[in-house]
Amino acid sequence: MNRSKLNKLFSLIRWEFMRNLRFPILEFIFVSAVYSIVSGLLNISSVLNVDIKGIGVLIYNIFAVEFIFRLGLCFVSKYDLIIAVYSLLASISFAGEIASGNMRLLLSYPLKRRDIFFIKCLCLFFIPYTIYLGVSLFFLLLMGQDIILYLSWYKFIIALFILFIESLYVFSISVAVSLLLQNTMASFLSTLLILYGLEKISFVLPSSIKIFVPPENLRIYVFYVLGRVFPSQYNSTLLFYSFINMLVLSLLLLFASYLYFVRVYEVCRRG
Amino acid sequence: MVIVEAKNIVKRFGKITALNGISLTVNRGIEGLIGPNGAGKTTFINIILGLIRPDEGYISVFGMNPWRDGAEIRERVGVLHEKPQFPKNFTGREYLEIVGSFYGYGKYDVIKKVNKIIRIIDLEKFVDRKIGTYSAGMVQRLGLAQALIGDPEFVILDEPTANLDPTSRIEFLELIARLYRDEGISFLISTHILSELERVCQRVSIICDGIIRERGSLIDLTKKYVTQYLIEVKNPKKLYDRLRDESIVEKIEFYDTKIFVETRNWREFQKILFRIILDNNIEVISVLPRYGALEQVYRKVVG
Repeated sequence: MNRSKLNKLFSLIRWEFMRNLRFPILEFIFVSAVYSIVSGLLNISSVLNVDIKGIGVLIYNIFAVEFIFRLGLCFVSKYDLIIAVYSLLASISFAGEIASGNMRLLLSYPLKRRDIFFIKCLCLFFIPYTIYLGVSLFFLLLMGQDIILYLSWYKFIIALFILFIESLYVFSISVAVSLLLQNTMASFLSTLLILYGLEKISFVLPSSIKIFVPPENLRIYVFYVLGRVFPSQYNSTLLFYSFINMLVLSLLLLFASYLYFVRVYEVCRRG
Repeated sequence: MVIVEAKNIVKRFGKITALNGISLTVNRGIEGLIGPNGAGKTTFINIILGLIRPDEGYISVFGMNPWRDGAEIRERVGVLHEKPQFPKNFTGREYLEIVGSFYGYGKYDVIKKVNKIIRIIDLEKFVDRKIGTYSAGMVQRLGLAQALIGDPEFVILDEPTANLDPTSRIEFLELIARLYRDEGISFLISTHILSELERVCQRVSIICDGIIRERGSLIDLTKKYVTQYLIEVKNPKKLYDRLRDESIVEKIEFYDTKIFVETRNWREFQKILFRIILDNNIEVISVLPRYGALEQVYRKVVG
């Protein structure tokens, strides 16, 4: 990749920070991450009200496992917050820029549409994700060095994978709705309605269908993989497929959004 | 040299046909594009920039297809859109710097280019203020600066002087003429304000109902369409009496020192006018087209 191309890509990242991740958006993401992690940790403190340094290695190990379990669960239980974060970002960055005319400006410069889409997705998806990851690690370190030694890393990665897949699912729907409606408020509210609606509907669905609807499938997954009881009415194969479905649906939606933005989207409807 | 070549471009938005087979060639120089609201000017500009895909027809800009090679074309083309919406939380300098890096320039080149453009466009006084605090005139100046930052060969200006006061309008047009003369930058100016085009344009295209109705140099169009003239003389009654009897004069009125004449054959009329003036020793103050020449052309073409 030549220098000129790199300059263009970095300037697009700068644009995203200055235009779409400015105060108070980034601060809101950070606070939501702290709230999610701390509320998960407070849960642990109430279970294990002990002096961490005074207990043995075994307890540390249990504590670490408990932490990861809680972390995974708090990601899932803070699903509403993740919906709010991603639908807000997609609405501002895609629908907001289209509605305000900033997208017309951006596309009037020598930038490729695929680069704009790619950088937007990269920033909007990974910045909240990285903040959540950073805050989780920070609180892990805060608990003491010993806990890191006995941590089940693969389970920690699974917890983060749950956050990843959950975020990707929400993000892909938010982007698709934003490009479809091209209006900040309408796309924000519609995304919230679709995702909250799906979540609420899942409560009344039969078990065989419920396992395919997030965040219920993620909750089951946390219980199953991170060492808790696995509900008898589900089996691991079904859970695996529900995950694959979620991943495929997210990737398909993102691909469709990409195709629409790069091949179909026309800046002005009227001249 | 041909910059834009469009042949039979058709663009529909649902049931509305915005462009109905437009064919136009834009050469180097300052070219004007005029037409009523909804004529298709902005749609055509958006097609040139690759922001819209035409439904039918052929278009090339610098020999490339705008929809397919839009980014390459925009390396060489700057644009100031109608009512540009620059991000209000940026300062003018921040915005110009980020636009400079969109062209692939490194940090130091961008700073150099921004400083140069600030000097040319005269932005020093407000470039470090937030764009949200700018007046309409400042926004237009910033718009021209961002269009020029990539050293374009061709700049498209869509309603560039809308919202400008008369002084700023004149300054803006002088700046465009200077940029063409000194830097060799070609312009396509779309506007409603016809007197502006008369000041700077070499060629004009009149667009109406999605097609080009007329195109040519200002001199050719004036010869073809301008029929009403305003003659200002010291003793108008004498000239009025002489001209009234000439069969070539279709309509004649006089008021104060001014005589309004309508004639279809300006060349022949000129000969008669000069003969009468010399024979009767009439002192002439001015001979001009009544209204703007372009305004008369526009009225005749658009109807």
